[in-house]
Amino acid sequence: METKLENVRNFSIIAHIDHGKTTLADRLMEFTGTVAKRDSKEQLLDSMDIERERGITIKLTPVTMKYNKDGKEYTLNLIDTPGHVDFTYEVSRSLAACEGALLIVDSTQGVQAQTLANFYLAFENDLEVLPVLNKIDLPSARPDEIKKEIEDIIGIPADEAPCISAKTGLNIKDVLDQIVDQIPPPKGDNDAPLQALIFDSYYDNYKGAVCLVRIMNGKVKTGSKIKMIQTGKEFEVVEVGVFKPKIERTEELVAGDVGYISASIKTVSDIKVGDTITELENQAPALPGYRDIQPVVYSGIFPIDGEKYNALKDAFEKIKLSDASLSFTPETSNALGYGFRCGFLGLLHLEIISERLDREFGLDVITTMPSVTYRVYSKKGEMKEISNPSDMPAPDSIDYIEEPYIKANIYSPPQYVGAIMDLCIGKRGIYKDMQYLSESRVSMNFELPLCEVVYDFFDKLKSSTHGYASFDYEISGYQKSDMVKVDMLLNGDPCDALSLIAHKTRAYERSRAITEKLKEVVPRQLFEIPIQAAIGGKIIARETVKAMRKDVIAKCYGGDVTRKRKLLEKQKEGKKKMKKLGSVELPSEAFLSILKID
Amino acid sequence: MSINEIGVNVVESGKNTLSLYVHIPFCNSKCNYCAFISMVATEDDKTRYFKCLLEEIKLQSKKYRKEYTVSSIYIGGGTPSCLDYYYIRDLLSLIYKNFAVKNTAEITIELNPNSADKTKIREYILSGVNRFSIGLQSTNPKILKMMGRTHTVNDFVNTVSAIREYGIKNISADIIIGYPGQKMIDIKDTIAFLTKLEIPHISSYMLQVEDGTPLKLMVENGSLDPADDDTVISMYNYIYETLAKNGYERYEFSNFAKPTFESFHNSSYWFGKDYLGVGLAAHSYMNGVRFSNTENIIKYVSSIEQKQEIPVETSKELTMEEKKEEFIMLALRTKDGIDLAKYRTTFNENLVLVKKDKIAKLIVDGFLILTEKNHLVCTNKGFLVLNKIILEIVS
Repeated sequence: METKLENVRNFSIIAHIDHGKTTLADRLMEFTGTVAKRDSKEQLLDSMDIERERGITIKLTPVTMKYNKDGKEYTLNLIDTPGHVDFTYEVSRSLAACEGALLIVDSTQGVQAQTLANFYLAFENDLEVLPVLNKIDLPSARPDEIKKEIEDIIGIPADEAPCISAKTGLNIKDVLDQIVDQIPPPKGDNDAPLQALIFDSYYDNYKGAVCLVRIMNGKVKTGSKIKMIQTGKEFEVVEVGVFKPKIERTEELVAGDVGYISASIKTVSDIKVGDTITELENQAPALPGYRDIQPVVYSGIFPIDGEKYNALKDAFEKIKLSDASLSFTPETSNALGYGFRCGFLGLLHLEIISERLDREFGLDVITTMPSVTYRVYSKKGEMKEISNPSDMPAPDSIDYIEEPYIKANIYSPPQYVGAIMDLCIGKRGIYKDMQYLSESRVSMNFELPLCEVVYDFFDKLKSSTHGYASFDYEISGYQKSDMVKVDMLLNGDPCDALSLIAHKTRAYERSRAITEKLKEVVPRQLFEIPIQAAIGGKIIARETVKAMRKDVIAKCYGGDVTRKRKLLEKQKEGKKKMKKLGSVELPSEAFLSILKID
Repeated sequence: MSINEIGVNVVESGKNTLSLYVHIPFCNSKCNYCAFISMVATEDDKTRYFKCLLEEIKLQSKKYRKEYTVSSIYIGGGTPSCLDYYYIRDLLSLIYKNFAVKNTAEITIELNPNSADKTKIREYILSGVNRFSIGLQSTNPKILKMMGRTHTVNDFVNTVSAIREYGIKNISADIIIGYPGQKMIDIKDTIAFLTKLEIPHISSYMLQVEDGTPLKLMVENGSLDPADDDTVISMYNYIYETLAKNGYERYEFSNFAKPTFESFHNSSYWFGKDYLGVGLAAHSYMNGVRFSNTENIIKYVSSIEQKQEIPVETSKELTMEEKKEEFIMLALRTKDGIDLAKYRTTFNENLVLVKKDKIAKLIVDGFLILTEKNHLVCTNKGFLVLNKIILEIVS
């Protein structure tokens, strides 16, 4: 049976952390009979441990629900979204697959950090945003105040916002009714050539790589010959279906539908988020908004145990099956041996990958200083792209260096304009313009060096605006810049894995910060260890890790022998996890800790 | 007075020797720094514990008496002297009945300066005790009070003279260095006091702030600051140098003795000899197996009372690799260090050859020396970072 477009609603839920997104999604599924109450736990937003622990969702699992209102059956497609700037593009594509969004606000806390940032993203994608007040059952709930707050701060009407308790299931029906009444049905033409927006993909051991799509126009079914417009790749559809929330095969997907397409696709690398799937024989134009996502930050990843090189390679290949945005190529370091140069979407992505290596593959790795890609022009006029400080040519052979810049767009309530200005200027940003979108909303544009943004810009932005600002960026091109390579020396020996490329005006400050940090994390050893930062041959910062002077167990009688044994075993384990650089032993945390330095 | 004169040693000697440790887990009060298994208990509890303890010794005797002769006994705690003397008398006489004990066996009891009067001391000696280890800890009354010790320096003097009245010279004093608030001048006073009193054996322990102690709480809540490393090192070095000038030898990292006054019992731990521990939480090392009794007194008592079973809680047979590591780890604590010839005959391996680069570096850097007699010995600098030196060699 074909569902008429007017009976379809595609929406997402956006919320500040802990405001009840997952619980509401569970209740919606229960209320619509999509899942039975007892097995609703973790059905919808189920994903990796790492995501849960960090309170972010990276992988999005859509779900299709049926809901009856006024004698008509509606198909409601819920598409979940992640909430970190590293993944802004993915979020934007998910939102592009929807016509509306529920904005959950905790009625005891009010408009918070991410609430606004998430709203801006939805707003940018022209979604109908429906505020929902959650946790109304709590004695400290202040629905009327919060409604006013939503109107004042966010600038959307909140008078009719449903007051619900996702926990107890109170007024869930109001939410469903509003979805039907207020969110516009998708537009689309079943008879037009196929246009399916890919908003995500996942890897299945049996099906291979699977596309998650929103059909904008046309139809697709088993046997359809399809083409991905951006990659130009062609496939034959094996199966289509929807998520309820377990996958359920269907006859076909038609305009307005949200579902999956499986087509014997080998890896997710063949599926580009934002790409358009069309029919091979009857091609439609590409949907707008596609961006080829490139890694923006590169870092070396090395196994602590050199013999685990092949295991690391296998692990990367497996991760790559489900994470197309990771790139890796072999690399050799004088300090760390054989490893890989990897490209990431941002630092969070980097952290997630190294945690996955540890948890899923049991690999202890060292991550080197992240770097962006620089263009180095030699005096002979040749240009070389460099994303690894060790590849930097000798200073006297360099004519000039260019670094990548981004166009940053920041939305924020107006009271944080000064703080944002300070932050961006401090990051060598160039102020472009500012627009008051409403009394409660400002849009600011900056040009910023990418390398200043990849470290902790987003964290800084969040803290200086109490989380109320949102941030999006795109690479805008390269600009000539005064970059220098800073070498780090441990006990006099250069350690390539710690060296970095920095802007000349920042090199001294960064070197100080790194040497100070290293002093904290390098454990005392039997000898004194100088930690130095140098540009060319000139030392610009120095710290010293004093020699260990006392480390001895005072008593060692009967029972103490066992205790001492245990201590020794522990120390031996610890030592195994140390990387020996020349004569100095470094724990892998030393490398991680300096990643966080501004 | 020797054991034979008491005429109770009736067991035939075994061909191996063991050192016997007896744990008395009772004190009159707990010191702030102490993490040993000990408690303040009623007389009934003590009696009940002792019954079990004696039962355990009988059970162990069945297992070991044929093969072993006891070469030393150490009654530690807790505070063994907080008990009435007859507990110790009965204990030792039961040991003599159930084990062959060497005539020359060193028999030590731990005392607190204010818990043993003349009568107790006399009875101990009559029961065979020939070495006394007294917990002095400090000569500064303020520090003693902070530690939670209830005795005075005078108590110590009186205890020592009582022991000496019976002709026993083998006396050891325990002192603590690096207690919060302790100054160099306190250490100097304490050492001057002990050398003047001609105490022939001194154990000087760097304070370890142990989990679960009142001291740990006080350090954590900031009411006490632990001494910094440099202070502790200079205190330790002062003790080492001053005692050396006064004819004491550092025969183990924390133990200093005049010639012939080294503790035989304690040395057996460092030389990897067999030792048997009886009582609550006691540890043993017999035939290459390390095992220990439960630390839970209720479990201990009920296991022996109800099942006549020794409540062994942990037991581990050492692998060859672990035996090597322990050999190195324990030998390096002693003045003779690692006897490379002995290591070679024991493990059929040339340590210096196997760990050539590491050992060479430790020697060059001044942490170890190789003696003419082919012993690998810690320097003073090496002793202070012994954990690291051991780790370097064994990893």
